[in-house]
Amino acid sequence: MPRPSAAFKRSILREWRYLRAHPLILALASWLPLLACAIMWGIFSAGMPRQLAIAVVDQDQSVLSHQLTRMLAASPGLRIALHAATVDEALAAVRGRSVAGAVVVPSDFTRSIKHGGQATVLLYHDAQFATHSGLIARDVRGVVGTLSAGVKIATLEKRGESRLAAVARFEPIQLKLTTLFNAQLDYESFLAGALLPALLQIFAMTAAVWAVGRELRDATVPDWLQQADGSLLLAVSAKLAPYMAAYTVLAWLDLLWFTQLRGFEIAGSGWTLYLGSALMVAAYLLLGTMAVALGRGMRTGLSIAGFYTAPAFAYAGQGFPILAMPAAARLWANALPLTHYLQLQNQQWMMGAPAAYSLPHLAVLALFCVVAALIGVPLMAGLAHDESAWGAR
Amino acid sequence: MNFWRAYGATLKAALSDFGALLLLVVAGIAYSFFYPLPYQPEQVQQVPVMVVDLDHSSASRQLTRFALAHPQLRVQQVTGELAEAQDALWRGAIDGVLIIPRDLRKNLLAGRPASVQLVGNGAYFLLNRTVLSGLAEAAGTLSAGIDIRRLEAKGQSGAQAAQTRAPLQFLSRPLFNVSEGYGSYVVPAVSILIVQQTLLIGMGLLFGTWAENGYGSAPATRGFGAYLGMLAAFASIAFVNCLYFFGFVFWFQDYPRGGNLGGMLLFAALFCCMVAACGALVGSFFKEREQALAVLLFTALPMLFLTGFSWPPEALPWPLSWLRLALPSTPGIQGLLALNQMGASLHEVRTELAHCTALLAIALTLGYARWRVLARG
Repeated sequence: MPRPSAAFKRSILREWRYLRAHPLILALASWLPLLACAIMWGIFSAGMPRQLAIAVVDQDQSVLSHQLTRMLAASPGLRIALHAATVDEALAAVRGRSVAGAVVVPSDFTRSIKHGGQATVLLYHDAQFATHSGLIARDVRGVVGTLSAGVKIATLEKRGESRLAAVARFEPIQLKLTTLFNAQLDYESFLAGALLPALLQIFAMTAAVWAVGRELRDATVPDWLQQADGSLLLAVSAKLAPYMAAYTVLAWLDLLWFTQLRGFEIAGSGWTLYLGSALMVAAYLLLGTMAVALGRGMRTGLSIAGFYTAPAFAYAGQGFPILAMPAAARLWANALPLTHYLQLQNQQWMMGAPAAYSLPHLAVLALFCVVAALIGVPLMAGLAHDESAWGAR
Repeated sequence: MNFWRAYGATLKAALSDFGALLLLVVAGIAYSFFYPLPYQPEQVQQVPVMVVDLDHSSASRQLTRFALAHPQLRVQQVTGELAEAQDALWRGAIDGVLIIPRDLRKNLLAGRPASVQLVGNGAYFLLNRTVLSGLAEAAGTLSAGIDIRRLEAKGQSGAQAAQTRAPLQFLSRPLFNVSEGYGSYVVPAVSILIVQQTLLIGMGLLFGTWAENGYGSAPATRGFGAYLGMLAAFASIAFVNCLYFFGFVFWFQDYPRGGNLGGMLLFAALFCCMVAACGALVGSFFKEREQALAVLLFTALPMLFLTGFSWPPEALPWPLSWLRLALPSTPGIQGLLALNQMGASLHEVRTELAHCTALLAIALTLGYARWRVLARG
């Protein structure tokens, strides 16, 4: 009775020999995803964009408008890159993208306030660049609000209130705004933290399609099965094992990088995170196998993998929330392991929820593995003995 | 003559290869419906929130009614227990909390400082922003009403009170994407990336296939004119894809569009030539048909965020600032967004025009140098 562990070892060595002889594919499972993750992290490593360029059009040129300009310049999120004479000049700068917003102070600014009326500060912002636009609007609104409160307190004082009373009462209901879990609105953990798993799922599924698909493409199935003593299940497991190791190590390195070295500590349960990311890798490897089986070949499998993984980040609900998507999109989102993993990651890493609340996500990830295997392995077994399926390009 | 012969041969080769056809033509059309789908609603509305009412007064009930009425919010429950809200946040049932403290009404009546706490789920920035702005508007409405009544009680008229209350008004005018829709923000840029990637991967597939036969079946093995003809054929396919996206898809999805039509056509033509040149350079490194599909798939994500439309380029560390200049998507997306969505003039995209031309020249030179070695050998 041949020992399965010997067959397993032989099959893994066979895969390793292929990788040694094909540096491009070895790269796919080693330094290329590492480099991609490093670049992706590097993009957001600053955490928060600062000093976003704006233009100021001061048509009033008064003490108050100069105070507003000084306060804008002092805001760490803003940088006055242009003092424009006209609104047209400022808008041209926006279209030229040297600034992302233009603050316009009208010529009757001080006059309106002096006569007890209201003055308007106008902000044109480039909403096509929504991140810049949102941050600039938030910062300018804050500056205008502060200045407005100052003016109002001064007015109340003039009308007889004591300064203390004026400060305490200038707004009947004061708002305490709290952002939980990511209080600094740090893009490094919010976006890079989610984009790294998104990159890994592309690599994992692609690598699995290549690894399994090449046996069909090169018609090397007989040799592949023979090394595994005829068992397709053993052959697939041994083939995917090195990739499972490589991508799980990468996924765990990513988690360690953020949580230990970058200081974004895990607020909840660490083991669910590490288990979840390993399950996600396994799911995509098995889904890659299934893609080859359904596509009856490597190239079709790669096209399926591309369609499944490339837009996945958009559907996963990290940027645009799932609850706001139409029903069909929500359905597709739930058909992606990445979605469930990211929900788990947010729950445990950022939000510190009890581990029990992430168990459903772990179960779904495991379910993906099981379903992909149940569909993929039998279909592959059929293709492995169907010579008409070999050699398809 | 050589140019046109190569042009025709390349088109024939590309469109008769099923794998290449899928990538160069079908993929773009499929993605043009698939990619915008999640963003169709454009805005985030009706985010589930919970109200923790510790005051149980007419004031707290009025505040809750304002929250109920706000389109950005959907009040799931009013509770007296803070722990219940915390639990619901963790479970993912809600993404925001309005905490109304004890003695709100008493403090308001006595003219003492009163506050409410607005809590958002910072793990999801867009949900957080929607919740906080919605709750702030609800609470702000209540506060404004009280403030105006107080000022009127002191003898001011209604109009005067409104002005005293907020001497400086902040007016926000979103440009170009005036509805501030999420789809309108993301999809135009991604469309350009889709055109680029489908061309790059499609060319990589064909080049890899030709490499397997020692380039014997390649359509343009002799002369620079033939090489240009080959590139022009690929550029034409990409240009048709551009017209599809900028003409049909933007209209179908009702995105801001058509700002500078003539400028856009010119720039798109330059963009397509540049991407074709890059595609030939990159494609020359593939020795097997399927390698391009496997290796280039991941590149879309980093390239998208290096463009600078969704993450400010000033926030990039300097090595990445340099890397982004080497990517065709950077000037391509910046320029086409400006021309299509912002109505920029060609003068206002002169930097991107120069950048595209430089990349085209470099890719053409390096690509042809490699091609000569490979196609001869």
